Amino acid sequence: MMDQDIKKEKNKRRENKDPVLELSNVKKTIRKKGIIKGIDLSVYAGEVFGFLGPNGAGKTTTLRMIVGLIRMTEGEIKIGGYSVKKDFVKAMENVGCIIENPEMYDYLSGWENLKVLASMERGITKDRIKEMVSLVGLEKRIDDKVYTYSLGMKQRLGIAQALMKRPKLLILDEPTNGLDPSGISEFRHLIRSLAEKENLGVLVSSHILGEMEMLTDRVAIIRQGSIVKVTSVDEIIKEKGITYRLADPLKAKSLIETEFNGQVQIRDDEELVAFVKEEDVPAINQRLFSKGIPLYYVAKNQKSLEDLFLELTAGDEIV
Amino acid sequence: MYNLVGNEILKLFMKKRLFVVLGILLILIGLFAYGEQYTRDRTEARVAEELGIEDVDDWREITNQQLRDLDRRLENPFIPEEGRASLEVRAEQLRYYLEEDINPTTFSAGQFMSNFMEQSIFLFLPLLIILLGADIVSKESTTGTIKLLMTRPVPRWKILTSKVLALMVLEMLVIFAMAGISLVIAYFTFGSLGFGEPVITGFRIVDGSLDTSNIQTVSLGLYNIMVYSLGYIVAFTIGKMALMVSVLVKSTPAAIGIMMSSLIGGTFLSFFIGDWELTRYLFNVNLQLTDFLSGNLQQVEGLSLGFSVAVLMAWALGSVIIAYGVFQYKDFMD
Repeated sequence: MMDQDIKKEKNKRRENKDPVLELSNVKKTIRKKGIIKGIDLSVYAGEVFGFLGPNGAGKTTTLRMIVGLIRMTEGEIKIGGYSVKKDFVKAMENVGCIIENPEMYDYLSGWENLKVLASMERGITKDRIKEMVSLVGLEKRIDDKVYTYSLGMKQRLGIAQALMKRPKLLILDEPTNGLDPSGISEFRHLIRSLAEKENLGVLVSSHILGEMEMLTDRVAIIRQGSIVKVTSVDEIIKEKGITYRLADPLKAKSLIETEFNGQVQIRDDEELVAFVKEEDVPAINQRLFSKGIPLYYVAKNQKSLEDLFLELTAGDEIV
Repeated sequence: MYNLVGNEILKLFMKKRLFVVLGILLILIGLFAYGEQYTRDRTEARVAEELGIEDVDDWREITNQQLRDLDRRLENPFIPEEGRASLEVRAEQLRYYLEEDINPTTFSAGQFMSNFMEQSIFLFLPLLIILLGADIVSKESTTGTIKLLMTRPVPRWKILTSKVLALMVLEMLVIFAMAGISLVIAYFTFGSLGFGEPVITGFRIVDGSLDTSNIQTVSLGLYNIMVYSLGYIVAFTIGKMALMVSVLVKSTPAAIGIMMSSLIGGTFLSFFIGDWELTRYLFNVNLQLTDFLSGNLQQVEGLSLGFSVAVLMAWALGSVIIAYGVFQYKDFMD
């Protein structure tokens, strides 16, 4: 079931382009204990891919294997078509990342940090660094030592550092940790616009579900080292359904099913859940009214990524 | 590669550690120079008092006085065997200076410089190098910046090589700083450079007695170059070992602790079980390279300059191999 899902996704996307990131059967074993038990996934240019799972599920380990910090025991990881194992340098030329906290050399200034890191890459000009500094809005503080920066500013510097090489793939591990709400929303807009305008593939890990729901196109849910499900956020939203509390569920059911082509589940003698398009809701309400079915309330279901997540991870602790 | 080494050197300079080390050097050399001056004044005053003269200009008298002091100490039956041998060697050296009409008591900046390195080479110099080298990888692990380095399109071995090269530059810098600071302070304290003075070297200890068959006279300037070159060999070895420990452990304090305790512990070990053949392969007992030049008695018998340098190089090479081997395949988990 899971594999079919992945294959279907892959096939659909492969018609257009190759993935910027491809993991096939990636495993990590430490002292005979399987930490990562065979992960397959692909991230395509222009999409934001979420990596969702409770702490300790293997998110960070997987991300670290992608960027070569941890060596995989088995399997293959390709970035922009280059194998991380065999062609590390070429693979790394295509990826920018922030793994966990955005640590920088705090005894250097922001500018010196970027310069040091840029010198390790190919073809990053001074103008490009300046461009990145203004993209993340750090112009005024860039010459200050990094130890004077707030976490949010370090995060921005981290993003500048990750993007300055014009990567095809951006990897962000728990990126919104420590950002305030306005910072988070700014960050979200930045990532979405980069994905759309610059055709950047983004892999984001998080345990904050609401965040992922707004940010990502697809998510993989990982639990105890395996991917449990890969799904698109659209699908999850579609699955949500609308709860109707009304006098005659049976009558309402047939009305919604015939006129609006929706699925209906009757919960009890005063409640049903209808899986319909949200834009149809006013029309449905009007029809119910005109049919003389008293309506007590209508509510969008809270079934969300979170419910799905809890279902799939079967109550593993989420922190 | 140049850019990588440049980055590492920039980082080393921007960290405060280097300036702490330079500060320690400045203070210690100042104290050392003051102490030297004080002791010499006291010796002169004592000699003058004993001989009943106003001013002591004749170095022979001072040297004779030192010889008499040594002989008096040798008469003490409670001195242990090893101590006795070393005093005897020192006495023989002084007699040699007297016979050859070479003044060992004149004190110049050049002499101070070589003295300072001779005193520092087995403990103080290694400590400074440990302070600087033990954090070169471990600090990046502790602060997490290692992730920035390791995710660049640069192979791991190049990253470690840039650190090795930067550390070698730093080792050199410490040696130059020791030479420079002691030269300047000593010049202002003692008043003369004295690089042209003759120095006798090439003493060898054979069966606990001084062998003078191979001695040579060199200028003090050349002697200093030799002493500080040997200092660099020690700095190089300790630097490589510190680098290895820095790769192996994640925390800088742990790295410094491990290096310091092996440095001091190994010295103790060689002191207590010096008879044991194996102790001569410890790096600790081979650090006093300058003793082969100055003719001080070795703690462990049967060492030679060539042997000691070979042992140190073996330790350095082993450390580098382990460091690269571990770094290349290490998983950076946290």
